[in-house]
Order: sequence, then structure tokens, then C-alpha cells
Amino acid sequence: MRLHVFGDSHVMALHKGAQLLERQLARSSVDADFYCRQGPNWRAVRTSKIGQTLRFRTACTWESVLEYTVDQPNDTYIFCAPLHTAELWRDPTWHRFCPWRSAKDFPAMHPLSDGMIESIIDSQMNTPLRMLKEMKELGYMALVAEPPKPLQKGPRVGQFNPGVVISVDKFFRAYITRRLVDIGVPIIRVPEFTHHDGLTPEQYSDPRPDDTHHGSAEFGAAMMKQIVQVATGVTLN
Amino acid sequence: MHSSNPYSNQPERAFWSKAAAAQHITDITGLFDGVPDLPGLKIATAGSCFARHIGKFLKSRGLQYLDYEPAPSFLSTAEAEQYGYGIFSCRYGNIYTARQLRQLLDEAFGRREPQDAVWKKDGRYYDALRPRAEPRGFGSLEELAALRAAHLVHVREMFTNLDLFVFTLGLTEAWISNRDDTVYPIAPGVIAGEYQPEACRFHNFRYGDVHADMVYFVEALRSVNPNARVLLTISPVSLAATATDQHVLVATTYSKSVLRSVAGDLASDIPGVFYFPSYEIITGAPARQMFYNPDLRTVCEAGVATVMQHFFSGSPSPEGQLATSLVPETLRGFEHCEEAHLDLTK
Repeated sequence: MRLHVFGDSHVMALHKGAQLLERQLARSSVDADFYCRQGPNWRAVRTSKIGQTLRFRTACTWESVLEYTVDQPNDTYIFCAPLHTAELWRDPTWHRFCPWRSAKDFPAMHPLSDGMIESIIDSQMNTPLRMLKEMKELGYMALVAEPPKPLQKGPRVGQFNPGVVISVDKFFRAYITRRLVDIGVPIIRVPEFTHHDGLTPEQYSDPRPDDTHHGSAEFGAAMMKQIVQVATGVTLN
Repeated sequence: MHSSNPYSNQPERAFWSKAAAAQHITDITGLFDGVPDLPGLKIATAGSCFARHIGKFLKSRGLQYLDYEPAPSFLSTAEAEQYGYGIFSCRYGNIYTARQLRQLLDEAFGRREPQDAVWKKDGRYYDALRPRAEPRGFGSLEELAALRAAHLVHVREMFTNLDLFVFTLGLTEAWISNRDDTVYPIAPGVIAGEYQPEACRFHNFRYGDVHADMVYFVEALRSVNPNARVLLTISPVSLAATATDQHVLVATTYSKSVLRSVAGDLASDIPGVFYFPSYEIITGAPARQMFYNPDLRTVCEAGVATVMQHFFSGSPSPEGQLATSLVPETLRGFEHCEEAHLDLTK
């Protein structure tokens, strides 16, 4: 069984996790490769379709060239990008605004409508969702891996109110989940024990002090176990 | 000294032949005496679509333009405008009629609670009093109410704290709820909602209505902000359509005439209320209709720039630069001639 894990920078933690699980993966005959490009690249992807092959390229690259080919119909593709919420919640907007549903908790902030936040999420994620739709239409098995919840230190780094960050993150994941359900793409959720009250504790957080949203190798390992379980039915011990 | 007739001592600007017929529109001076102490004033704007330009110019000139509902930074300028940000001092959208303004003030200070201010479209809910503020509408009545309540907080703050309220009167024609007399900015069914003849009525406000509404507004505003001043302008933008049985040109003239009369009388009668003649600058004979876009309705950029040039001409800036022409010297008199622009590219 082969897994192709591709997408934004969250792939890195999954790769590190897979390295920690090297022996278990080998024992289970699960082979995984990893392809990582920075998040903004995936929002500018253009698709070339030749027969059953999809080639994704960035029209204008951001930091690195993106060129990814989907051409193995018997494999499973794990995409990290559609649930990358940090780009939204790290926006300075959230110093002064909050989703209207949490406005009672933050009376000094300006409430924003669901429709407006959804339109911003759409502008960030329409392309990755379109890619998934194209994969589905050609019969590829595609899954979306959820990135960690915002790191506990995340709001502090950006001087955001943690409650607002949690609220935005939650809204984003719920909205994209609905869109993925419409497309028919399953989501591999982060394990319950990797987050608490909507945030990811230090143990599962990238150790770099200014990192706000990436998981640690330990998180990656926990997540890889979920991925393998969902994609292959194999439980890694 | 003996005067030969009552006009002998009138200044030059009182005579059409010298002050209007013999002048190019961009050379005419003395149309507006300015607002005293303008550079130090906290200024808020509202009104019909022409008023959008005023706020932008005030901001660009470094005046204290109030923006109580600034846009989230993740929206581009174009996106922000779609959501009604950055157009007026709050996200109330276009306020075309005096009655709308009066009702907004009353609602903001808890004296009025509209009972018929929600429209539906495709399962979404729209704030009928600012139907374009959320292009997708709201997902629930609860959301609409929460966002409107937050908006009204800012409107209240604005009215309480402003020094100068610039209001552009746009229309006399309006659609009114039969349930509670709420005045809509646009007829039900155009953007959202459903036109039901038994639920609303058309009304063309007359001089007495508009005058009474504006007097009410000024008094109500000063009850919460005693030193507030008001600058009135009339939108030179013609009616897109009339609901009367008249020709739209005739209906436009009626509407603008009523509004112009009210504004003039209020400025004459109430201290601290001013009239700025943007309407005359654009529609007056000296402009020869050249400030209109090809649709003969909307005003071109040069027209707006000329209007604002006059706006600032009577009011020195802190740097003494507010009277500077907004039109490049090489273009003066030819702002609307494309060929003149070609000459500049040489």
C-alpha cells in the first residue's frame, strides 16, 4: 500500500512522524512519500490534465517551485492544505474583529458575519478544493489531513486573544468540512489527545519559539497513525 | 454714496454675465465660503452615492475623517467596498432620503425599532435598511440582528462625537413599509425581498416632509451633540428610475428642486448648518454637462475633483494647502477632453 502525502508545510511534521514510525510502517508494508511546498503555492495552482494524469503547477511560485503529478490510481493521496487555518487567524484583522458568534465574549471587538469570513476562506481555499474535485472526478482516492489546532503559544506570538483564535479556527474547520463533504472527500482528524480546549499543547507543537501552528514530530507520528488507519485499515503499534 | 439701483453695490459674483457666463467652470470662485475651522473638525459623512466621493477626498487631504467601522485588513479595498466599508463613516450604505436619516438616528438612540426591516432571498436574510452591506446576506435572523446592533453602536458613537456631519441629500422618492412606516433605501424586490403592493407604498416626499425631517434630525443630533454642525449637499446624480407617472427627467428635477430648496432654507435659518453647492457645480450651465459620464447620470472623476476643489477653497488647511487645485495645471479647462490627455503623453 502506498500513500502520497502532499501539500503545505504541515507535511513536514507528518514526514518527521513517519521517520519516527519507520519500523512500524515497514512492518505493515505501508510505503509513504512526502511532497511539501509552502501554503500560498497551493492557492495558485493550475491543473494540466492528460488522460488520467493530473499535473499541478503554480502559476506564480511563492518561495519554491511547485510541480506535483497525480498518476497512481491504485494509491491513496493525502492532501494537507484545505484546513490550513493559520493564514486566516494570524491576520491582524483579529486584533480588532471577531466572528459574530463569539462577539458576546469580546464586546470590544467588531463582529464579522459568517458570510464575510466564508468568502475569505473561499478565496484562500477554492483552488485546493478544486484540485480535490479534479482528483475525485478521475477516480483517485483522496483524503485531507487536518493540521494541528493552533499552538498554545500561537496567539501569544501574534498577540492575539486566544479565544478569538480558537473561534476563527473552529469556524474555518467547520466551514471547510462542509465543503469537503459536498465534494465527497473524507477528512483525517487530529487525534483528540493532541489538543486541549481548542489549542495544541507544547508536547505536540513545533519547538521553535516563534512557530504558531506547526506540529512536532510527535504530533506527526500520532497523525500518521490516524492516516494509515483511515487509508489502509492498518493499526500501527 | 448714492446707489443707482439695488444691485449697484452687489459684488461681482452676484452677476451672471461676469461670474458665470464669462468664466470657465474651473475658474469660477466664490461659490462656497467654507466651513469655519474645517481642518480641526472631526468629520463624518453619509448620504446618497455621490457622498462616497466626499469621504475619500477628506481622507486624502489629511482631515479628521471619522471611520467608525474600518474594514478588516484581510479584505482588499475592492472587497471592503463590496461590504460597505470605507464608503461612509459607518456601514449604513446609501441614505437617500431625509426620512431614512431621521429613522437611523432614532434607531441608533433607541427611539425607534423597525419592525419590518428584514428581506429574504434564496434562503438568506438581508438587512433591508442596508441591503448591500452583506452581499451574501445573513444565514439567520439572529446573525442579522447581532450585526445590526453592533452597527448601531458605531452609528451612535459617530453622531455623539462628530463635529461636522456632511450629508448629501439624494432622493425624495422612497418605498415605505405599511407596517411601521420604515423607509427603505430601495424598493423591495430589487436587491432582495419581495415586492408586495399591500406591504409597502411608494411616497414622493414633498418640501414640507423633507424640511420637517431635516429640522428634526438637526435638533435630535444636537440633543446628543450640542456643538454638531451639519453641511448639506445635494447629489447631482439623476434618478435611475422614477416610480411616479412622470418622465424621469421631470421627476429628477422635482426631486432635486425640493432637496435644494430645503437645504438652502436650513442653511439660511439654522446656525451651524451649511450648504455646499456641489449640485450647482456639476449641473449648472457653466459646466455645460461636461462633468457627466456618458450615461448622463453619474459624475466623472474630474467633476468630483472640481467639486472638492471648491469644497476646500474656502477652508485653509493646517499646511495652507487645501486650496491647491486638484486638477493638474496642464489640464485645467480640458479635464474632460481625451485629446488633451493624448497631448500630455508626448
